[in-house]
Amino acid sequence: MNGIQINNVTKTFGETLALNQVTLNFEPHKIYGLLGRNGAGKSTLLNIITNRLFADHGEVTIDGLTSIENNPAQNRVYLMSEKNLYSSSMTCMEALKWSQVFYPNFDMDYALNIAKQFGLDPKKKIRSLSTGYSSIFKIVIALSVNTPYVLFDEPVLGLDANHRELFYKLLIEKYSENTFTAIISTHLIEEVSALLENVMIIKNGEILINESCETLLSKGYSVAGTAKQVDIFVHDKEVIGIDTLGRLKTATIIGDLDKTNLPDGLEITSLDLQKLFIKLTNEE
Amino acid sequence: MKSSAIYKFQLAEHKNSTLIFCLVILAILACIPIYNGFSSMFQVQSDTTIQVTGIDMAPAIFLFVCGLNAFKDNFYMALQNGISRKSLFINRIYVVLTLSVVMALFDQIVMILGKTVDSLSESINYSGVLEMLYGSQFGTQSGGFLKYFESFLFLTTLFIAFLSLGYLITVIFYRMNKKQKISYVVSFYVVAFVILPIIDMLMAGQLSIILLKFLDMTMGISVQNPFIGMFSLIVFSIILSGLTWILIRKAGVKN
Amino acid sequence: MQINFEDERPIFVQIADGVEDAILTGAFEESGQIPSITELSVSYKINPATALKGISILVDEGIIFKKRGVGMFVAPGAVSKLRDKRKELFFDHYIRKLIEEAKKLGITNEEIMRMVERGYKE
Repeated sequence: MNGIQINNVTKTFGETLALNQVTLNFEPHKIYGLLGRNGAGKSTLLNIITNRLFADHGEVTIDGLTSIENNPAQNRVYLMSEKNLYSSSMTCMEALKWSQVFYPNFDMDYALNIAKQFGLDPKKKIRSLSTGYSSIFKIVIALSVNTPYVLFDEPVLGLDANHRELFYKLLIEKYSENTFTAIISTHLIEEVSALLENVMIIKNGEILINESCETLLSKGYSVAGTAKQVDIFVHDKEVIGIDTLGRLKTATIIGDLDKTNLPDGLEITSLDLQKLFIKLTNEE
Repeated sequence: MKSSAIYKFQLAEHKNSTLIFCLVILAILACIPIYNGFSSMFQVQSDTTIQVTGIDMAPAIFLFVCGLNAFKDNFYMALQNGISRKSLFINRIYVVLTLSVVMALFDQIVMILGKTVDSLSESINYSGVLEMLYGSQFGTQSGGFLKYFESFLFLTTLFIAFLSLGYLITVIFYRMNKKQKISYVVSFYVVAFVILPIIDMLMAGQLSIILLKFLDMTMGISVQNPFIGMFSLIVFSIILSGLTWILIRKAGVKN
Repeated sequence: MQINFEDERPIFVQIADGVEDAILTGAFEESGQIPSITELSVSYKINPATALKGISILVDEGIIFKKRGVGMFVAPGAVSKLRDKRKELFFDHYIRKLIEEAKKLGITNEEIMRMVERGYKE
């Protein structure tokens, strides 16, 4: 019963259905990507896992322990949320010190070290941080708590390219040295795609895709040619997107590609995660 | 181990303001003989007495305000650090007890200091809240240790009630959305300052008499028994905390 | 070595190919140590499982070997092994296509040979 198991979770906010019977399983020691457009239900799901919100139906277990109002279970998880829950009148240093009180495995030396690498001044008040540095402050804690599960909700919000690179580097370093489970919710997919082992795509509160990154990518391809040729080729395949440009038609397909039996004049290209994501989550 | 952390955190949130408050009270006390000294030195109105009453009620008001500010930051900190609402609430009760006891002890010091100031000069008259409510048995030092202990117990329960009340109000506000908040505040004022006075007027003052009688009875003022008051305050605090728990139990993070 | 997300090859294949290239050019010498999985994944910001998968291909082919607790090394004779493998691939990728295209254009064997000689001279 290891891992985070989400069983049939439904959550509504008034009239809107935020999560609809979501069933998922996060296995230990993997890096997951939780991808979805804004409002797809990513944050709601992470908030339910961490007991910040209650689900209407369904249950979540963390290493077999119920996630609801259960300190030993929540001890194993840290959520770096988009919303800052630290008192804004605290300084960063105070927040780090309190993290040390709350999390016995919190590594203060490491936290100060990476704060320095990011150029975060620990003496600053949390309220005075810019969006980017607010993310950095939260990243510093998330990478230092050393819980078995660390959830990142939009971790690179407001970060410049250098700081994003640094974050990915630190994450991989941490993960390789002392493996843990990371769940990264983001819409900057291209950058993280190589970090991810598994991908979950969430759309309108439902899980669309839950697969290993590699399998997913090897499954998707696009085929371009004249409209007639493409139509014939795709008629027995699962098409997730069509673009037409004059007489040229491009179809994005999910499924195994039979390379031995390709009609002439069709051009096959592989997909990257970003393209695939856009095709899958586009509203018609 | 972790749930004691949320106790420490909540207590720490009150530390600075409490220290400042205590210093201010001490400063006020110190000012009284100084002021008195000056006025007698210049022979101005030397026959008037300075009345110092109910300075030991000040912590009650202060703790009420503390309660009003004690929910959101602590709740969010608990959620961020994987502390359950239950642990937060239980440790909140410990914090309330700690703060009330500390402030009641502080009040005893204030009372002793106040009486000392009182004895310095004929023109200073100091009386504590218990003396006002329950008569002169708490006024003189003749009651000795037992009276101090009684007064300490009474103030502790009083502070617990005020702290819990402030906390409940802020929790109610947290659980309400904007519309509810406004209607809550408006209806409170309408009921308290319009409807009740009108009813009172129509009933020829009967309502206020009933209310005062109720207060007198529950606090044991006429019978001069602070223990009745303590009992009522404890019951009152338990009701407040019960309501608070009902509201916290299902509270979630807001966006 | 470069990881290219636009590349049609999966990332783990790119890693394996990249290490092979480095061995062929002599950047990694025979019997010499190569970067660890952690180092590879950190410097290319890829999942360690992906890096491991790439390296495992080379381990299975006997090009890389692991010393427990020490690290990973280029196997002796790796270069010639790789050359043989690349020559096979060269034939598959280039020569077959070359001949296919040549047949379409009606280019004879002799003509191709002459072209190849010309190409070498240029």
